[in-house]
Amino acid sequence: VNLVTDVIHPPPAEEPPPCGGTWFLLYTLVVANLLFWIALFVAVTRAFS
Amino acid sequence: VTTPDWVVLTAWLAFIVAYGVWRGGRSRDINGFLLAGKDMRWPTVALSIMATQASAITFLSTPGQAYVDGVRFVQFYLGLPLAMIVLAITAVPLYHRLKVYTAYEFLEKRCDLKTRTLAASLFLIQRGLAAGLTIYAPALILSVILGWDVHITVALIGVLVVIYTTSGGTRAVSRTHVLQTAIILLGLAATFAVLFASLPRDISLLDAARVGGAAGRLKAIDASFSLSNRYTLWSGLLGGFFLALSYFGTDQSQVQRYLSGRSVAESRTALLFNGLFKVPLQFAILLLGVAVFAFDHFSRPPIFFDPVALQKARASAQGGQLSALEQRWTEVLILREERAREFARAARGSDHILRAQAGERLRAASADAAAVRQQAVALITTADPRSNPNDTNYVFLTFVVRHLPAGLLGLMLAAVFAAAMNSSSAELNALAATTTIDVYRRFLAPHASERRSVLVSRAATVLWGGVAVFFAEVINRMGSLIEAVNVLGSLFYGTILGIFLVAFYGRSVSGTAVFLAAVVAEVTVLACFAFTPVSFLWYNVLGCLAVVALALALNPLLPRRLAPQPRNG
Repeated sequence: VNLVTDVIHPPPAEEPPPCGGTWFLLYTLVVANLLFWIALFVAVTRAFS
Repeated sequence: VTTPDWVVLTAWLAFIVAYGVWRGGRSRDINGFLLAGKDMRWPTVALSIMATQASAITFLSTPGQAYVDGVRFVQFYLGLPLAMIVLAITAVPLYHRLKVYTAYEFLEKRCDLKTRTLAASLFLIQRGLAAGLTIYAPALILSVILGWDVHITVALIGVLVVIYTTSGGTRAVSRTHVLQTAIILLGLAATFAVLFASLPRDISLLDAARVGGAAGRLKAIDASFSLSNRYTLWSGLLGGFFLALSYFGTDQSQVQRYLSGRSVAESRTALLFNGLFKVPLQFAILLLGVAVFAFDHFSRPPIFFDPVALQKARASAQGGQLSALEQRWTEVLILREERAREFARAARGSDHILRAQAGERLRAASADAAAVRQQAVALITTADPRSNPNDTNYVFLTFVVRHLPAGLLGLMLAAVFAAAMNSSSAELNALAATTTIDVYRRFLAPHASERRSVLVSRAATVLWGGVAVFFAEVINRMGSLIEAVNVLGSLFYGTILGIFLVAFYGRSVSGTAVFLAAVVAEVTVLACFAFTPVSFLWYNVLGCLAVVALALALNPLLPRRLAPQPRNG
């Protein structure tokens, strides 16, 4: 374990996500989900203001 | 609170303690007791992470916050999903591969012993005191609602948590988190259902949402760049990101949750699950507050939500004036209800002018009600200067007590106890881990047997439980609870985050530079707290930036031999 470079350049994950798919897909899902909620909040704000 | 409620509440509390003791098992080694043998699957770890963060005071305060200020608080959580991705990629594999029990062990491997000890000490002080607040805050609210002495509710929560946390360690904490979270979600869903079923027949869900919206309670996003506005899209994304990095990456009460994962992949997935569901969960809780707010337009809420403070004021010399105000309060509420119905009817049509006019009249009636309430609050604080004029923590439970049917009220009270026990158990578990690993096994008995270490961990859990309960018992002169929790955290979080940031990303910075920078930063933060009017939220930024800047500045001035040697293994 290299304590510095492991954080700055983390090694690729050896195992796939236990829930299926790939890590890239999972990270994309988290970001897309965040964008979805922000868009929904903007829509709610506009609809009820 | 009726007999069925007491039955549900008592049965749940007895069940959860027994379940915790049973599922916790009898760990014989420190890996089993502190990290659940590292065999937890991601759903359990994910629910445990969420349960640790959602303390009872968050659970009680959030609907109240939405009731008075709307749902804009949700922006505070927008940086969290991004922080989960960063931690999943960086911190999780590193902690796992180093096979550490606490986050602070990493600091000795990367920096030196004194930096590890400083960070562990700051955590023990901050989390030890915060554990008292975590117990006291819901205990106070429950004591007011149940009519019990606050010392009884404090002792009850403390003793129940200590029993199963001491017996089963992390495994008991994680297993109970799953069930306790289930009852919290069930309680929230039941409250939503009752709330919507209790709306008048001529008022639909959409009407209720429009009434909330007319009062500005559904403004979720504020895209302005105002620095004086605490909750904006940008402060949420940026400030929330750093706060979540600090809390989930360096606070042992969270690190210990995901270190109990079976593998790097299980821990990572658990953090990402938290990133997926935290924002909608908080939004749902905030919407509950807005729903109560809209519902109160068609019911008769009390003029002040803290029943004990209201009762004291009624019995005081200000009682006569308060009685007159309460009469006036009923009148303005009747007018506000009429205006709300008028607005709901107008909003259903397509005439925008009529809708705008009805909206204006509703806002005028609401302003009248707010003015009457303001006068009542002034009278209540005159009658008893120790009364807290902020009654938002009581808004949600007042609704629950007044409107939930027998049995469901007991379920909801069990959910509040569950939330209190969730965060307290994780805190005591983390305090015990840090005491055992970073103090006992590092300084007092480096060669202690596994059996002895487990015994010390159990003793440390009881000790910290005692400290938390003691602190909770003597705390009642601290004023606003939420503020006290936040001030306490802010005094230390910035410095701890700064230490970890330099340790993670400062390739050539020596341990001594980090340590000196952290000491100076912490003294600066404490001096700011004692001698300046700087708002506590800035302590996080100040402490973190001070550590990073000072460490980088001091590093070239220190002898070269103190620079860290990268270790491989």
